[in-house]
Amino acid sequence: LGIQTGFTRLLVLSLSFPLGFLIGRFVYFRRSHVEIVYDDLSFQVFKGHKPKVSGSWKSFRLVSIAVDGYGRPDLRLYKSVDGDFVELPISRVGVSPQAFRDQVRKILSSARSSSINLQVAEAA
Amino acid sequence: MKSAVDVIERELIRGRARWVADLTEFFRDYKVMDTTFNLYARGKTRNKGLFLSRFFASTVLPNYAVSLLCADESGRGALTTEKIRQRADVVFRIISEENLRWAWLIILTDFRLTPTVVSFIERYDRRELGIGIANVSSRQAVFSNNQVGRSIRSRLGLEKLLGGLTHGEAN
Repeated sequence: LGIQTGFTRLLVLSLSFPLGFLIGRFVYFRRSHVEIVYDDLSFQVFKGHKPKVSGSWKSFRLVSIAVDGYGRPDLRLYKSVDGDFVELPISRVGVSPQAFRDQVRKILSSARSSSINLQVAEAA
Repeated sequence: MKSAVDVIERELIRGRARWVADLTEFFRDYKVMDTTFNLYARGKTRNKGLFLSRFFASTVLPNYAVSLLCADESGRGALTTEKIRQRADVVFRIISEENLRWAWLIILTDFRLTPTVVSFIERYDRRELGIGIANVSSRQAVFSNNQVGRSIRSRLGLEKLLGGLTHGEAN
């Protein structure tokens, strides 16, 4: 096949590693890479290039850290106590679960207080 | 700066309680009626594991719902038996509402534990509730004299956890 000679064999081997790495990286970013984009109003979870979950912080009342069957801590957002919830896969993005949970709690409480203020303003 | 509750939660997330219970969900500042617990963790006695441990767990271990509640009374005056009793009553309410088999109650304080409190806890023997009281400054800890209470020391290692706190973390 033409790879019998020492130089060609070395060339093929030295090219196949970075090529495999690049293809693997491309496939990973295309299909499995998880990204969480958020601001003070809403969040969006992307897996690969596709948006998986999105929502507005003010729809949620409670936040918890939920550990899955493999011991990975994710964030769980509840619309009501023990009601419907949405999971943010924070273990896949490499943030500290406690620090991120505290940040989300701050966002939720500020979103809730601003919605209460709006209700008061409407009532007035 | 990390508080003692943060450290306990971090260790529980890492699976420190797994020999007794697989705690899978953690809430902070969990409010029940008028009482707020700094940490509320819930889970089951059957852990997941992989292959052999999963098979062992599913065939041998019972799947009871259990929970851990932790309250930090630091900076709120001396801990009294009345305060402990009030907390215990709320935990019993949670046990009956959520159909739990048992629960751990950990109360942290920065006041010296009085002999009355120590005696009250050491004589506490209701099966469903294990109580552990710890002083975050002196690392003194006392546990209820029932199986669930003793497991706070032996399995959860509360004293070791608090002993590992640096002065800054203990705030």
